[in-house]
Amino acid sequence: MNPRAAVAGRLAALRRAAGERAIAWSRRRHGPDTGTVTIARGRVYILPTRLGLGYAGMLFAMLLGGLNYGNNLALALTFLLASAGWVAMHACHRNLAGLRITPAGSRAPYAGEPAEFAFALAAPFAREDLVLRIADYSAPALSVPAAESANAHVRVATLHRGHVRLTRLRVESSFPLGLFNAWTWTHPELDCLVYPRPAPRDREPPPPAIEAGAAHDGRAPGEEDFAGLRAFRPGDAPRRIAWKAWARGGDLLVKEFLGAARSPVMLDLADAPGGDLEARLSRLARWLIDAEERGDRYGVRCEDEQIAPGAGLAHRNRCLALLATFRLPAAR
Amino acid sequence: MKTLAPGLARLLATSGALAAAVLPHTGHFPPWVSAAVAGAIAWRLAAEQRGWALPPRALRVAAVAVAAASIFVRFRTLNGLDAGTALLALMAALKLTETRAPRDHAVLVFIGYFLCLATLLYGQTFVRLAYSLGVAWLLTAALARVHRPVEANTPVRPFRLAARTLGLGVPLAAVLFLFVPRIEGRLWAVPSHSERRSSGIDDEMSPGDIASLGLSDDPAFRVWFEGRAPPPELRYWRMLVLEDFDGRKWRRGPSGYEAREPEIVGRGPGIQYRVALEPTQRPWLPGLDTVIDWPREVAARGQAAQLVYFERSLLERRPVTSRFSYTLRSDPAALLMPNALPASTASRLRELPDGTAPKARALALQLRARAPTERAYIAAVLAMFRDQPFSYTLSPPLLGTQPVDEFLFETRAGFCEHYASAFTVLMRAAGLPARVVIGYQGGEQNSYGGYLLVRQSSAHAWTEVWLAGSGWTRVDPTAAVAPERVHLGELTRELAGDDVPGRWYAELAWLGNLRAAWDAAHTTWNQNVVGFNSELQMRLVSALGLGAAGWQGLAIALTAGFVLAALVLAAWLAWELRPRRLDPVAAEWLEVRARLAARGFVADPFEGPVDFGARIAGAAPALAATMTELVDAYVGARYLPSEPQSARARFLAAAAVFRARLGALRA
Repeated sequence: MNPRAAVAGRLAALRRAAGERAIAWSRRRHGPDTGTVTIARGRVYILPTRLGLGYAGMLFAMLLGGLNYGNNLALALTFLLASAGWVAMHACHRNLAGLRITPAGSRAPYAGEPAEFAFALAAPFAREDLVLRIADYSAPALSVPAAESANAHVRVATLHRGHVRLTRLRVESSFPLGLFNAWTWTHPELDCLVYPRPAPRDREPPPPAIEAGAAHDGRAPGEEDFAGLRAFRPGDAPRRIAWKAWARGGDLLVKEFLGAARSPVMLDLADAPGGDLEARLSRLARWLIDAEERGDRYGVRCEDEQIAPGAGLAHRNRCLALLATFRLPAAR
Repeated sequence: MKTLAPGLARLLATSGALAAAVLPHTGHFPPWVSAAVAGAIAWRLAAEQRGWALPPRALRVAAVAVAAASIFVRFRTLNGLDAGTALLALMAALKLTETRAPRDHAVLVFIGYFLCLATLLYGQTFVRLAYSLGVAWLLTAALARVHRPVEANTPVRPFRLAARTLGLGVPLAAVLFLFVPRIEGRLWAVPSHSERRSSGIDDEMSPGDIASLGLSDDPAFRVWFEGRAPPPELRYWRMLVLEDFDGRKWRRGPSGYEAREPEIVGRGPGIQYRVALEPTQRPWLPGLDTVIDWPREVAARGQAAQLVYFERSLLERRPVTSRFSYTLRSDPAALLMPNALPASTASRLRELPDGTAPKARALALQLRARAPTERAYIAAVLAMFRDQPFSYTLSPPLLGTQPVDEFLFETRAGFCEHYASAFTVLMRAAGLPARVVIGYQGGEQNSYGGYLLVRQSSAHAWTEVWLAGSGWTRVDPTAAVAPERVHLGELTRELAGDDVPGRWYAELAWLGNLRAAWDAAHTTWNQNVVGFNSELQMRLVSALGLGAAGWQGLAIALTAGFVLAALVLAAWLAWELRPRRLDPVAAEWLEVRARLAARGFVADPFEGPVDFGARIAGAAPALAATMTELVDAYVGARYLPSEPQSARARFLAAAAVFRARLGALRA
């Protein structure tokens, strides 16, 4: 490594460390935030951006020029631009103060997909150009109209099943000119489950029918008996929507199959092939998803934890949650 | 309306503002610089729209080197105002060709700000300031557009933001303007830029060579009298003296002699007045004939200007390059060197070059022989001008090898310089020491500003004859030919034909009034804004009761003023952004939404209340009935015009039920 890069690396590390200390200080100061946080003025921090520093340098050069030429109008222009910078600083700070941030849930992803945290932002007067950041991830900037609320969705990358814990959220803004950056930290205690990544669909070993009860005829999906159509309900699988009927101009309908009449299956971790626990959980997740899409009734068992058969997305998510947290390594 | 692609909109905003900043400078750029800027803007916009590749780095570096070299070759410097602005404009053009990122835009905007500043360095008129502020607004809007998210920018939003930011900054800027100390002198030497030579007074006079005298309407100086202004026929503003005559051309006398202050014998207290002189690039200062007292030192532009009486006229040691103000005392009846004229001077001022104006010399001897006294001789010459068909014109015929003789005996038409020249020759030919004086005659009273305005068109030439006992005596031969020229203090149409500047104003009273008002406003501007200096600053500080403290007073005023303005600004912003009491329906709806959001039900931006309600009803069947009623009532209260009171009551009731239901669900 060349010396310059080493110095730069050290500086970056120092800056990161200082940042961490600042955040820790802020957390001690404001404590963990539960529910809606209203950003008090005292927890809005503000610093000039690089652009702002450049602007200040430019103003200094203009001031010297104006003084040197003894030119009052040049000075007047300089002072006006400097005052505009001052106003921008106030506007930037005000843009965050009084903002209300409410955690609005999260959407559990499969490992490898981003977890998404939603926040509802509201304020008694309009806010502009707000950016929410979680570590290195940020939501696209958004504005909150007066007496309205707006939603921000921050996506955070995931690698493994388990939990994504969110203990710090940075809300920042460079409104209006980009000369200053105001930010605040909130310290929520949020948690988002991460489901195991479903195994690929190829070389699918059929889930063995345990506790099949009535004979499992092993028919492949698609050969089920079509039973009729019913109105769409939120949570229905897109695969089962009668798109053709909808395209003809009708209502959104869902195809129902006789599969529901089939006896419930119990999907067992012990049946999943592969030596690695994670691979077997992935396989099990795949089975769960497919079973739900087929419209089967299914349950899941992981050693001594189990969920009785059922159907529907909520049921599937409960099953996936079991897989997500099963024998989770403590340190991850 | 078709919306522009964000990249193109940003480029348009930045390059448009930049073009506006460059525009006032095109006059002092070589044409190819302006062409380069225009070309770069056009090319970059086309490249953005058509998706052309931007030039590679090596080419840009080469272009920068070529641009800097061209500027250096053209101006012989990279410093200086002309070269500096041209270089800035070229750099902006080159930067534009690689502009993509917000940072590039910011560089362009900063260059634009500097060009605005340079516009003001070239001239401090009100119009320039207004234009520069407008451009600064456009530049700030471009900065806002670039540094905000694309979606946040409607076409007008950045302009409004910039106007607001600049507008709220005005009080703070005013405090800074008033109390930031002005330095004395300069921080570094400024290469003086060659300003246009102001028209008017020159230190040579060759009347035979002028076929048409173009007169400028520009102000030469303004005068504030303490007490009444002298009558028009006494308004002779002496500036410089021409003593050397070669038969055709009058020049200043030998330099360096008569460095001592002349003997001046006042007759009374005199008239005190202040002169504000426009830049002349010359050292001579106009003063009402005869100046009896002048300050030896005047503070100007942070430096002490030294006023000296040198080479027969009042002057500052250096050329007057910016507006210069000084106070004098004059006595029209005072005598200038009444007792003695050094013999060498006297003989030199009687001399005429050999072979010059033989006919004039003969005439002079003839008239002098008939006149009993020197004064009678002067009167006889003036009578000749008056009685014989001499005429006043600004378009005289050109004169040949003997200009004085040809004028006196053939053409007999000319303006003040012809008469002053011929008269002085006639005096010298008769043995009287005489010289030509150049200055201004007249002036118009501006009743709005309470001052006398003297324009370049009032430039005048007359003669001084030395008479024992009364010293240098002013004789104006032009007054004998065209008395109105002197009594009215200005040229009239009859005298000068159609060339008289400002004759329209003279003929249309209201237009004349308008012009006087404009000049008064202009003068106020120059004195109080452009001319605001440390002296006026100190006067302001002492008016605030901090005078005794001097510089500390200024510091106190600056700090207190800044804090006050900043507090007022903060208070204004706080008041403007105060939480407003919402309509109860809107407040309740927000509360319901907040409670739903806490449970994970968040309305998407595109989702209206009805869709939102339907979605929640679908997702949480337990809430379905109350939610439907709530949304129904909300729509009724907010959007339907009928019976507002009952609709509101219904909504508030529904909201109470819904909140209770939601709370029960949680438990």
